Amino acid sequence: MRASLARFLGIARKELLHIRRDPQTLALTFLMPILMLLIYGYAIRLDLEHSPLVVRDCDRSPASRALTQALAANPAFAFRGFHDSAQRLQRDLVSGRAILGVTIPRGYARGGEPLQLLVDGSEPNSGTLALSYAEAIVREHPPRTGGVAGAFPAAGALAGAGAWSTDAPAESSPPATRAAAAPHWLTRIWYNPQLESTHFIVPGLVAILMMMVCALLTSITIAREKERGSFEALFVSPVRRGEIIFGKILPYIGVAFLVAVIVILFGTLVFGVPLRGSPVLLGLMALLYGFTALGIGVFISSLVRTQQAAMMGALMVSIMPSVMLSGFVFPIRSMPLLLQGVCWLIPARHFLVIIRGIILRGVGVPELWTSMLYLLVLGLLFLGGSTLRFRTRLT
Amino acid sequence: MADETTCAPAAEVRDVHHRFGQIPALRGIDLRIPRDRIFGLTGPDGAGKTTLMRLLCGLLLPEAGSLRIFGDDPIRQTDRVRRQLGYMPQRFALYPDLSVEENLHFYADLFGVSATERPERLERLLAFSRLAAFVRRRAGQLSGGMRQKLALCSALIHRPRLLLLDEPTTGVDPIARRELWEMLRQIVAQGTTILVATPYMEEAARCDSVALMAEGRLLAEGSPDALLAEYPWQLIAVRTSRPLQAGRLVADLPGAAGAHALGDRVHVATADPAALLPHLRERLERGGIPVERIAATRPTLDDLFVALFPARRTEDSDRTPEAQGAPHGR
Repeated sequence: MRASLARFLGIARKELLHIRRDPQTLALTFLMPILMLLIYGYAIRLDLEHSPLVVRDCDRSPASRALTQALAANPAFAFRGFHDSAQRLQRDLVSGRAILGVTIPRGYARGGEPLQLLVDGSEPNSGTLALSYAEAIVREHPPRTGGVAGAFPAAGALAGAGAWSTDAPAESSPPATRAAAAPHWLTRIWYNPQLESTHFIVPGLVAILMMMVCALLTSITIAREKERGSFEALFVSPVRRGEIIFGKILPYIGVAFLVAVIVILFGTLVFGVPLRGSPVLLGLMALLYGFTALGIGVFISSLVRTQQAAMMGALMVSIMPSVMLSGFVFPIRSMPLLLQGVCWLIPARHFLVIIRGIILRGVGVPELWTSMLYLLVLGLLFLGGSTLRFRTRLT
Repeated sequence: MADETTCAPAAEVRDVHHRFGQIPALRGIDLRIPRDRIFGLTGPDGAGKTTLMRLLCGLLLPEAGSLRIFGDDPIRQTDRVRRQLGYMPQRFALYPDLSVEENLHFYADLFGVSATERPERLERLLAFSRLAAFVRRRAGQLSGGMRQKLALCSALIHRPRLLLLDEPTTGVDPIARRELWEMLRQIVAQGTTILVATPYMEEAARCDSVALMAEGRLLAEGSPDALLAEYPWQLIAVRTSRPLQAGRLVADLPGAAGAHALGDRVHVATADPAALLPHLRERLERGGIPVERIAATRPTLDDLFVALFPARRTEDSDRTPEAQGAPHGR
């Protein structure tokens, strides 16, 4: 037992030396998360800002002016001017000078005449967002008698509308002050009221970067020993496979944990992501996820012979699915059933539920234990399976 | 059982077969390696030396036959066997980014060398290998010879009773090669048995016993002197600038049992050198081969190998340590 511990620690110590002797890789490991955070946090916005807007006002009434003003005043839009003809307005949409074209019909102020919203749908994200922002603004500024009823599919607009409407009335203030012939919503988005993209990007990045570090680095370090032939001498010692595998992954669990800490700290300090739940629970879950991800790395290394193949394998098997099938980018509920089944096998999918729950919703074990259980099962499966697959002989 | 292990030979191989896919690597090897000596395993590349070494350490499982290390089965009694074995693979297996000291400590960890014995043992090995001045140097920055010495030290860290060395001098300069062999002699003197594989017959001749292998079979086994005493022919050595051509020219002379090139010479085997000599000179002269010297010579293991295994002589006979310079990566 003591000898086994000494061998395990010896391997871990040696691995730590490898990490220290390769400062480029280590620097990259810690710089990459920060770089990705900056790119995702600043460059990629899922919110709408300054979308160019043109208006054709055929009514020229106080009501139509009020609506135009409200649209132009919203930070989601940048007012680019009025047009007299429908062709001009369309040309702006075709040329990309505007994303949204609003036509206010004659008689709008009297009510009954539907508005026309033309949206550039070639970029579905910003198009949908622009539409829902505009709908919400229109709804908040009805002509004397609510004139937009029935003109728009309102259900799809809820999320976007909420992003804006929460700026205005507090929860308690009743909407009764407005003339309301049309059904009226007062939307409140919980946990991320501004729908800040960074708030759900940061937890997603923790999941993806940890997977990347763990799968890539462990599969490469094991493949390197195979490729160089150093396993040949190692295997002729009394060392056991569990000692090799756990000794090799131990330093990397530390590296992965540090990556998680960096991303979360950066997210909270720079992007103001709230950490509402227990940091201790979050840390424990990051460790559990780290072990699962390392298991995937070990598994990949058992399939390949060279470092290069390990790198490709790690990218294919772990990182791509963690981005695509974890619910980070694409909602799992809208996937085909078969694919939803595949998603259950992706550790990042469960970790994302957990980390979003802890960071944004401030929940704990009672709400998240099923996802934790799935993650634990997957971890045991990957790590246990690949340890059993590992042979201390040559093939 | 206890009796069997206390007097068992260092290693015993009985009718071992092994193949990689369809390609046979060993076709029935029987070998007994007695204790306290240097036992050489020699033969050309592909003879099966490395495969036999790997089978002895339990790195490969034999397809058929049995192996014993001091009476223990390397497969079933893996732990006991591995504690008694030191193995130095053909490829440098240590870590180039770790220092000499760190590499040795790592192997000391693996073999459970206790903290109390460790300093003294490291010191002794470093003095023995003359690596003491380089303890902090990265293994990747050592010369070929020092690298092999370090590998040898790490294989000795747990004081194995049997040391398996797979071509330890390949890629090593002649001076370091000589030093390595002096080290092997000292190791044996301290009671460790050595099994060393080498493609060089000159090195094999330095062993106490030697086994000649080719194509997965054992051709002959015994002490170098005893083996050479069995050599059936007399030899004439012709020194020339065109040994391969000369060999082909004279091999079928009446009275010649064969001819093979060795470095800058051709060795012609015959039962009666005096009768052959005039014919030999005449044939060489007519063939336009410049002859520097013709003289009788004593057989070496190379000549024996050719006599036992004539088929491959042209490819392998000119492989001598001195001619070696090409990388041996495989």
